[in-house]
Amino acid sequence: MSFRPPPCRRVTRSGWICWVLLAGLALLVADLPAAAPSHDKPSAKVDDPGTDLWRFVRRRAPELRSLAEKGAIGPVTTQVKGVDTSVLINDKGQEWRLYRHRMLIPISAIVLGTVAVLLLLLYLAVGRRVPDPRETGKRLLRFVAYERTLHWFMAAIFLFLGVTGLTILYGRPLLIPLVGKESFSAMASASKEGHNLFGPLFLVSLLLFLQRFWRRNLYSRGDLRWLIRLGGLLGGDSPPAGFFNMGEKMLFWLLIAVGLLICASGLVLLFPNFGQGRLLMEGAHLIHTLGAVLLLATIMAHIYMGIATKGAMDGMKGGYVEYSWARHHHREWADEEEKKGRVLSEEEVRRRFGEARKIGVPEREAGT
Amino acid sequence: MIAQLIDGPLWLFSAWFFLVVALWRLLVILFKGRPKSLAKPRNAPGGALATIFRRFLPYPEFRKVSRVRFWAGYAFHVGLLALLFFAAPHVEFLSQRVTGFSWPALPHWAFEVAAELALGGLLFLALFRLMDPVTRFISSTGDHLASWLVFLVMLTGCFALWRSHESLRLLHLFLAELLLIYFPFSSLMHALTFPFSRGFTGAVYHRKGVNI
Amino acid sequence: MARMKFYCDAARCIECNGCVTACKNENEVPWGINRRRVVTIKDGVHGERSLSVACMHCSDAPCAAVCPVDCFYTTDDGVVLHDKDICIGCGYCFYACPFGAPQFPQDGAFGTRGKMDKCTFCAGGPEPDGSAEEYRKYGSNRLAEGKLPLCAEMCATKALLAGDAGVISDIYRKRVVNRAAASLEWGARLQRANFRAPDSGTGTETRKGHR
Ligand code: HEM
Ligand code: SF4
Ligand code: SF4
Repeated sequence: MSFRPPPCRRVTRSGWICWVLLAGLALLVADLPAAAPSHDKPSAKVDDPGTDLWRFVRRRAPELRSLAEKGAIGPVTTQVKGVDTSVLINDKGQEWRLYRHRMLIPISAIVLGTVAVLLLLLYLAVGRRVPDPRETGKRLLRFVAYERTLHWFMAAIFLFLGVTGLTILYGRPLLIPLVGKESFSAMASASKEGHNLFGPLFLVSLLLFLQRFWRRNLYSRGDLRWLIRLGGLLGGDSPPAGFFNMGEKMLFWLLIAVGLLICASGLVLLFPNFGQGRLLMEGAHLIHTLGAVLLLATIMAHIYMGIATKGAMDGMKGGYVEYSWARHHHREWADEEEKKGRVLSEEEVRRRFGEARKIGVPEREAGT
Repeated sequence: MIAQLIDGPLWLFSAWFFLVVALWRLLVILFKGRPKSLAKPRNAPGGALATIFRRFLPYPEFRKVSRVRFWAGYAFHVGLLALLFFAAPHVEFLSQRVTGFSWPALPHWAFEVAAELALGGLLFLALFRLMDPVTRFISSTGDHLASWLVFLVMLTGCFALWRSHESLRLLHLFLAELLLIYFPFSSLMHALTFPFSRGFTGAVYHRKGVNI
Repeated sequence: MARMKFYCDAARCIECNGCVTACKNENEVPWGINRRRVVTIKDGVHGERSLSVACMHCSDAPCAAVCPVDCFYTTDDGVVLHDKDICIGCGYCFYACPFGAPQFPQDGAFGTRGKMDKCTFCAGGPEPDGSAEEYRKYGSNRLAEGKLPLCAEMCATKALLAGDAGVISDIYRKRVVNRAAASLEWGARLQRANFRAPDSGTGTETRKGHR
């Protein structure tokens, strides 16, 4: 006897419509209030008066308070003064524990590790990209001293916060086996104090950054085109860009937005004395750590680009960039500067850096 | 072993070393005296004091360009002075080991604010020294070294802020001792010499009738 | 070797706060900290209940799981203790604990947390038993002297029980059985044996019936 497979059934269009309608109906019915039970008939079910009590024990204080206001239950009180002291059971504590240990620690390790390894491999494979090797001997001033200082100020603080924060996060699995509990306790205590002290400084640097650079990071025409072509990553010439390209602008606003979130949640954790409860602090910790991991991964990519793109670091080191680099990466800006006559010779730049005598500029002029 | 060394002999050595060498340098400078000025005096003597105080503010011409350095500088110096002499752990240490008497300390929150100001100000200034062509040109290796050494002392101090781990306190103390030893040889001496150098300039130029 | 537990009998606790006071006095607890507290549910309403809570010395203790410096340990008696020399005052145990047991002395106006402090089941800390150092950091070590925690010893109604889990659960089991029997004798419904009735009327029926 030969076996014949049953004909393949396909859901027809009208079939789909029927299903959708049915699902909609089900939703509607589910939303309708259940038929009110009649109170006249005696119920066979006897409620244990204790159940609602123990149910309330697990609820948090605000809910209990609102129930109390409705007269549903009496107030929950304690004579011990303090935040949250009348909460009997903090059931969000377990959720926070699961978040930190099942999600944050493994997932952030994977994310940060993967990004770091990928970038390192990319660097080893591609090396320092040389977009335009032409040395024109001409220079453009990109960042003044204040801007460069501010950048490294923020970078130092950021890296310090990242290292100290990650020490607290990964120290127990990674460092305690290496150095022992006593030494790690000292390291962790130092990290905590350092983290707490530098945190507010990060906020200061962020605000100074915003004040200095926000205007140059506003969206301008052509940025979308740059983004669609991924800044020339897909091949071809670099699409023209202004002082900052769309990638840099996105980094800037991400840094500002997420940075401010991190700072705000960090301050909630930093001052436990303003009457905020555990729930708020657990939430703040969630935001703080998610933001921190996101920024750390982003900044790793940022550092990679700074190192791998030849000529990019010059602007943040001495402030002057090679003219051909500017033409390649920020054509509109470079052209504008040229129109304004701000292209400088290499000698002029070196003179400004005080190597005056070496290249024979008269001493009086160099100001020595 | 190392702990006892840092807490005992090394502390005594560095403190005395600082005291003797710094004093000696100061006296050398003071006993050098002023070169004889041949210019005809245009003013009665007495321009020194005014200049000492006037130099607490930048020249009006430079106010705008040096605005950031001005604020960062004041944040650092005021924060550092408050930390050095009025932080509770320092008051304790100094009164027990040096002076023998105590004085009121800052409350903890003011201590932390002072630490923020000092750390932020110094980090900014030390980076600015590297980034600005002019300050970089006029800075010697010693100047950079001094900035970062002071920064390290303050950083380890902030690590030890909680006062729970002896090892952290000793690290801070050790770096402070290094700083005390390096101090008299470095431009950090300006902490002691600034009234004299300002006064000297003020006196000389006042005599010549130049208002600075 | 025992498995030490606290048990608070909500049918007996009269919210006298004697346990709170006893603990504070016995252990010289730092200013602003109460290792034990009494919480009253349905305060002033029919069916009011009070419970005395402190560290419950969890078997799988969340505080120990989250501590970044791993400073908790469980003694042979099943008591969860911590080492104040290692604690860095990060507050994570306080976020994770279901009962709000870990607390922090606040020094200064910035409220930076000090070393965590919590109920030790009157079992001190890692220092040698009964040493002055141990007393200064953790309070008294009654367990080493063969005594039970003072809060439970002082409890006037014997609502708060402390001791080996087997012993105190036997005591409680007997109480439950007796109460159920008493309720049945008075004709109350079995379900009401352990809990006063909700605010449904005079409540006299259960008032008499349940103890
Ligand atoms: C962007 C830079 C920052 C990074 C990368 C960062 C990272 C971290 C990390 C990884 C932790 C540890 C979380 C854990 O162990 O579960 C942490 C904790 C914390 N962070 Fe940050 N953070 C940053 C900025 C800040 C800022 C700006 C503040 C304060 C204004 C702050 C305050 C805190 C506080 C108070 C904690 C809790 C640790 C404790 O209580 O000792 N952080 N941070
Ligand atoms: S402190 Fe909290 S989590 Fe830790 S053992 Fe005690 S009750 Fe359990
Ligand atoms: S406060 Fe102390 S005991 Fe609690 S988790 Fe942090 S380090 Fe551990």
